[in-house]
Amino acid sequence: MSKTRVFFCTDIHGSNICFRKFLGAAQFYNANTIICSGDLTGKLMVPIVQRTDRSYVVRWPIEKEIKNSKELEEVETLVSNSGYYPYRTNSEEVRELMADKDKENAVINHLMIERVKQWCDLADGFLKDKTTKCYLSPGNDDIQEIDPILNEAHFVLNPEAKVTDIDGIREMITLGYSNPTPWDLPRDTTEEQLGNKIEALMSQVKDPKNILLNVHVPPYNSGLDTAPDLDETLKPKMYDGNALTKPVGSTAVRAAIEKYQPLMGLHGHIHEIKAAVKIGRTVCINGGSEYGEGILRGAIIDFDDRGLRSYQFVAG
Amino acid sequence: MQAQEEKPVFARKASGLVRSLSPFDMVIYGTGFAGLPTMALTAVWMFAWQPGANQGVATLISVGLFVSVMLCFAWFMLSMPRAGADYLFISRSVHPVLGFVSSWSYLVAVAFWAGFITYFMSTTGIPMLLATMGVATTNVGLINLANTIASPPWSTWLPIILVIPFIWGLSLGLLLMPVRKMFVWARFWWWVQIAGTALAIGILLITSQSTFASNYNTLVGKLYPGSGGFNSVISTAATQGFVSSPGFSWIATLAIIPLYGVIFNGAFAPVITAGEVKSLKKSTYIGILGSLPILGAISALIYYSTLHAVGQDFATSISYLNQFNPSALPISTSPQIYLLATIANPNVVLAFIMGISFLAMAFWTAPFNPIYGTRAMFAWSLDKLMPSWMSETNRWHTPKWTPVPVLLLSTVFLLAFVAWSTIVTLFTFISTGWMFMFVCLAAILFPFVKKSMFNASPVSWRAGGIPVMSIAGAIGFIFYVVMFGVYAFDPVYGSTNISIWELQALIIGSGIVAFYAIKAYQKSHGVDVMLAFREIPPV
Repeated sequence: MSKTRVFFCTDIHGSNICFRKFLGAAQFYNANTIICSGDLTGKLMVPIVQRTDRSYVVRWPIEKEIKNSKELEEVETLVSNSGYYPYRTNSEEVRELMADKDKENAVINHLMIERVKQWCDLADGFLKDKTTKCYLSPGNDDIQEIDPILNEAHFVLNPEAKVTDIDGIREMITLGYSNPTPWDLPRDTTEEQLGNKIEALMSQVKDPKNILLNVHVPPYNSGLDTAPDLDETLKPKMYDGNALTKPVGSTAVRAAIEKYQPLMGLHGHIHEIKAAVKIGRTVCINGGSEYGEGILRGAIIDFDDRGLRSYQFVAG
Repeated sequence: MQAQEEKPVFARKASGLVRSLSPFDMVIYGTGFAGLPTMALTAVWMFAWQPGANQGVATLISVGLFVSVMLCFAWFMLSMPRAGADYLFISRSVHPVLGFVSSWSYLVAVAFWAGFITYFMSTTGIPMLLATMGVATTNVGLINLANTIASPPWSTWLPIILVIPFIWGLSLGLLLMPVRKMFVWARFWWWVQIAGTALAIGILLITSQSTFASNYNTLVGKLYPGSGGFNSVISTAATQGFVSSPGFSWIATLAIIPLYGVIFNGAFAPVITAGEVKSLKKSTYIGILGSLPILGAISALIYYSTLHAVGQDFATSISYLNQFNPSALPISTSPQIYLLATIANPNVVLAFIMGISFLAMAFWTAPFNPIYGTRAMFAWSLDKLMPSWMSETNRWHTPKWTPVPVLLLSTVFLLAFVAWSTIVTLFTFISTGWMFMFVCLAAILFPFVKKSMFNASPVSWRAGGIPVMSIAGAIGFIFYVVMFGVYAFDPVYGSTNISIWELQALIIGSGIVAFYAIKAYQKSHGVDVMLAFREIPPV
């Protein structure tokens, strides 16, 4: 009986330590295939400002004076492991960045692209003499500019918007797009367009019931998609001191799962959730994310000839 | 440098993880999870528990000692800010079996507590409401009804009858509802209980001892002519061998501290919702450490206001007679501060508020406590230590099945309590302690066992090269070892009875056996449960 073990995770958001753990997961969990499905890029740039006396100062997570190169390296490692981008700069440039949003975005985009490049280089070096299949795809938070880097990597496969063969028995379709979010992100799209993209991929698969539906956004009202209900200023709506929550998943994804009943739904997007639900026969999972703490959350999924054998949430 | 000071980070347009529960919510959980209900229940009982103890001093010492214990929880919460409480902390930082056993022992304790609350509601809560109304209206019929309900056979059958509507109706219903709605319910009754307790404290503080004695004598004269009065309570206790004022004793004061273990340990409750709080650092410190002085202040106020209004001799005597010979009291209803305050000021409206506030704890703590158990089983299931169906959720995204085994256990404990009250009460005092002792132990070991996680955490302080977290853990651990020693050797706590320790061995032992049995079972099905707890070596 053939067995396939997949390690699946999402939403590492720029965390260096989480990506390095992701690469290590194949050997650690004895997985044939490792999948990290968006969002790959981080959210914050942390300026490390050089003073006139050549020392540096950083104000994340608290203000700290950096006196030597060893301390500078430690701070940069801490910032990078938390998923943020350390940026050596000076007071003058900080003022320019504050005054010019386009320039700020350009710097952050550059840092995001550089980090993805570093990851692909690291993965290529690590995987070149291994049989592990490594899938790395963007999510709705990720800018389009990272796609060419993922596509050009030698031992990293970008399955975005493709049908990919997992183990000769099962296929996987992958989409990093999401239904609209309050932040209007690079890969936010309408439910209709999301539904069309899924349909286009489903039309290419051999057996819809035997695929992994690897779509970043979870199905609507599944319990995998519960998030705070935000007002127009992106603050949580409150009732009696508590934040209101609501399902924010995709109706198109849910409709596709109900229609095709794939073997499994692989989702992320909502970091707070770590859960599995069944929609009809389909087991849908969201492993959640704790990239900020340097913890890689995910799931080990075992398949055999009969289909899904087991899944197990892990946090390493 | 001005610009840098104004902009510590630059954020791009990106989705955000939003946390929802406020610091005030954390204070409600911290004070309400165990402290307020237990205080309301035990305040007057404690007067005779250790004669010579000064509850004010004991409160102060307890708060101080519990700071080290609660710091362990707070710092774990900052290091691992996600739901799962002790199970998560211990299983990830020391060893999964210790995390499972800790969580299992506390699940048993909270299941017991939910059952006990149902028992308490029928034998103390309802009689208290009837008695306060009876005192306020000078209606002997209501007081007699209160006494009837609090005595056999009612005290046996009413709790059993209430199992259906209370445990399998109200509690199950609330546990299956959206969590937010459950907390709205809990918060309403929390305020009711705070209001009633504040009223009782205020009334007792403005009542002189002579006024209370006069009111008590007048009331007893009207209700039960010829059955004695204020002074007869003290003399009756004395004739039965009770020494009401042995003078201040440090030994008695220290020996009463384990009772506060049940009151102050509830301050840890915010960690249960660690994954859902906003302003994590602020919420953690306000919720966990802020709850301790609040509970301490209320506890001290209850003690000193009672002493102010009734005096040491009456307080200890009525407490003694209530525990050992209630029928010798002119008004034999359990003399909680709400009843004493009603005697001091027999106003019908105030009596109703105070009576209902005492009963209030049953309405929200009975369903509130099992949350821990349902979430623990949910977490075990996600870690493959329980069947997958235990992590299924309902349409409101709350655990669909786990309330059933927890409430079933509560029902069993309720029935056990009816048949075997003393031992089962003490059994939970000890049972709640294991979890805190294990968390303190984990705090000692965490900086050494999980060095990278500790060093990356915001609490990686050291004093003289020793992790501050380990120091707090060591103080807390020693504190709990001493408390367990008092439990074990002080006959007042009844724990010299060997069967109590056999029960504890059964709980801890069954947890260990269950863990390894599940591990072996899962292994035979190709699942290595230990993988859920191990950190992946980064390449």
